[in-house]
Parts: sequence; structure tokens; C-alpha cells
Amino acid sequence: MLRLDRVVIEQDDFRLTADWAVPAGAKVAIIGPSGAGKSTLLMMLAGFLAPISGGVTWDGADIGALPPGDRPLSMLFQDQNLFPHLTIAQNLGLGLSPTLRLTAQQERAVQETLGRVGLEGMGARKPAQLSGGQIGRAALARALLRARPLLLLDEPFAALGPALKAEMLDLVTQAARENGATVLMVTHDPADARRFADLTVLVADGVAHAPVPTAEIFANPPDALRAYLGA
Amino acid sequence: MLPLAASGLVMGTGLFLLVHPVARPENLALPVTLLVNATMALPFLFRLLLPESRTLLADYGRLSDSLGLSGVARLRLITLPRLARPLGFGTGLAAALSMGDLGVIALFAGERSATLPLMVQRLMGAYRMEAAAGAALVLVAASFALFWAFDRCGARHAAA
Repeated sequence: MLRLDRVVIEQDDFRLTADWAVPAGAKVAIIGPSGAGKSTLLMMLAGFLAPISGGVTWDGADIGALPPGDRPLSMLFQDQNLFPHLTIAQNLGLGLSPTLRLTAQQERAVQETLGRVGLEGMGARKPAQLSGGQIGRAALARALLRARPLLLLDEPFAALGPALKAEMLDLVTQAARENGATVLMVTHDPADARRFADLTVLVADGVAHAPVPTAEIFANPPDALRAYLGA
Repeated sequence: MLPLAASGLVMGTGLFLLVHPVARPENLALPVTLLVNATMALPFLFRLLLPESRTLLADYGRLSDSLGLSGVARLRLITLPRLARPLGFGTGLAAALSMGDLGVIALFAGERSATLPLMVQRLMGAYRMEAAAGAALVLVAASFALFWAFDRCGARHAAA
């Protein structure tokens, strides 16, 4: 279970509070107007900025003091998820070993995972030789290899077309089910939330509200969500 | 940025005065020339590398951190390959600058050791103009070749 215990994030005159928990294995959409702090919340969880008060625990263990690489999570950013000078296989290999000295078994795992996301035979290519969808798949494949229990998605598929995005979300769903991972996904598109998430966190007016079942929140949206949806 | 304010000759003179009481300057010609030229080239390299390093950090800093890339592994896998182009160009520039050094060596060189520019100057001082012109041509060719080789090397490693 991921627990945010009275977390307060402050940046200049920006302030965001969160005090709730997400059960293990849940798929959570984080939705809200731009600038509300959706990405900031994820950056805090990933360890790139520290809350001024409160704590974050995973399965009861405090992860607030861990450096980003040691936290029990993988993160997909909006862009620049792959190093352009490394091959796809090397980019994936970094998920298993930050020194890229892989055992034969790890090399096999890389190849297998490439196959799992539909990129078989593309390990030797550079990211520039891949399409946007394939890059998304490769980034997801690395997260699969890392097999961390939490997966944070900061709109990594926002630049893809609707069909491709739906395909990627299905792939994330499938991967999360196989690994038993908990997924938190920032999105500005209500359709993504409906398609993907059991729970939805609304971030608005300086508060990241506690997760609510997605169907419920859209059936009976609170005022802040209503204003965002323009309904 | 301090080396920009001091010429090689000034630094050479200072080092000469420091070293003179404890060692024979001729014996230290090579290390001192190396040190002073490296220092003189430093501000240029710093200026070349700074914006590229900032871009690297902005673009891939978080990705590197999130994958636990640090220390030597990060330098080897990310920093050096991503900065290969400015590093190659900068090294080439430093090499070409050092090839033309006349400031330090003039003080430290013995009878039998000299840099090419000093050689050119000595030959001209002896009115051996043809020999001086020949040495100068070698100097220009060598400087350019070194610059080109380092720059190419950087560009080749940067091929992303």
C-alpha cells in the first residue's frame, strides 16, 4: 500500500497537500487542470523534490529519504525516456544494471521483454530509428525489467494518437496485472482515466484529493472536476 | 575565468621565480608548459562544456537518477558520450593553443629543448629565414592536424 501521510509540497507560491493511501495493485488516474500539481505530485513520489512536511511510505516502510534510484518505483516521463546514444537493448539493460554489465541471463531477459512489448529484433536500433509508439513500448519494457512494485506515468503517451494511446494503456494494464504493480498515471484526458483506472485522484486548488472510484467521480463530479471538464 | 586575465608569459614568469631557487628550470620545462597551457585553455573549455552539460542535466538528469546511474558508470555511459562533441572540439582547441605556446617555454627551455614557435623565433633571430619559414609551416600543419583529429574523434563518438 502506498501511503501519503499529510504530505505538503511547496514551491515558491505553489502549495499542494495530500493525505491518503492507495491499495497495492490499484490503477490510479491523477487528473486535474494544468498547473494544479499533478506532475509535481509524481516528482515528489519519485524523489526529485522533497515535501516540506509529511511522509511517504510503501508497505509501511518510509521511502521519503531514499534516492530516486533506490525507491520501489519506476517512472515514465513525458519525454526523454530513452538515451538517444544507446541502443534499445542497452536502454533496457540499464533497468537491470546501472553499469550495463549484464549477465547472460540478464541479456536473455532483455530480449524476452523486447518480445513481450512487440519489439523483437529491434534491440540493436537507436531510439531515433523508432516511432513514437515503439519508444513508448521500449520505455515500458525497461519498467517491466526493473519490476518495481510501483509504476508512475507522467503522461508518457500524451503525444501519441488516440488509437496508439489506447493500445499503450492496454499494454500497461496487462503489464501491471502480470507484475502485480500499482500504477499512478497523470493524465489530462478523462477518457484515459475511464479506460484505464479503477481509482481517480483529483488534483485541484492546492489539494490532491483522496482516490475515489473512477466511475463514481465521473458520474457525480465534484465542483472542481466539473469546472475542469467544462460540464 | 582567472586565466583569461593573465597571459602565459605572466604565469610562466611567476612559476619561473617560484621554481628557480629549488630546481633547474630546464628540467621542469615539459610539466610547466603542460600545466600553464592546460590552465590557459581551461576557460575556453569551460565555456564550451557548460551549456552542453546544463542541457544534458535538464534533459536526462532525472532519467539517470531514476535508474540509479551514478559515479563512474554515469560518466562512462551517459556524460562522456553525450558530451563527446564539445569535448573533442575543446581538446582540439586546447591542442592547437598549446602548439603555439611561446610564453612559458621561452623562460624554461634549455639549449636542447624547445617548442616549435620558440624554434621559429630562434631561427629568425639567427636570420635563417628559410629554415624559420619551414618550421612555421610544420607548426601550422601540426596545429591544424591535431585540432582536426581531436574534433573528428569527438564527432565520431557523438554519432547518436
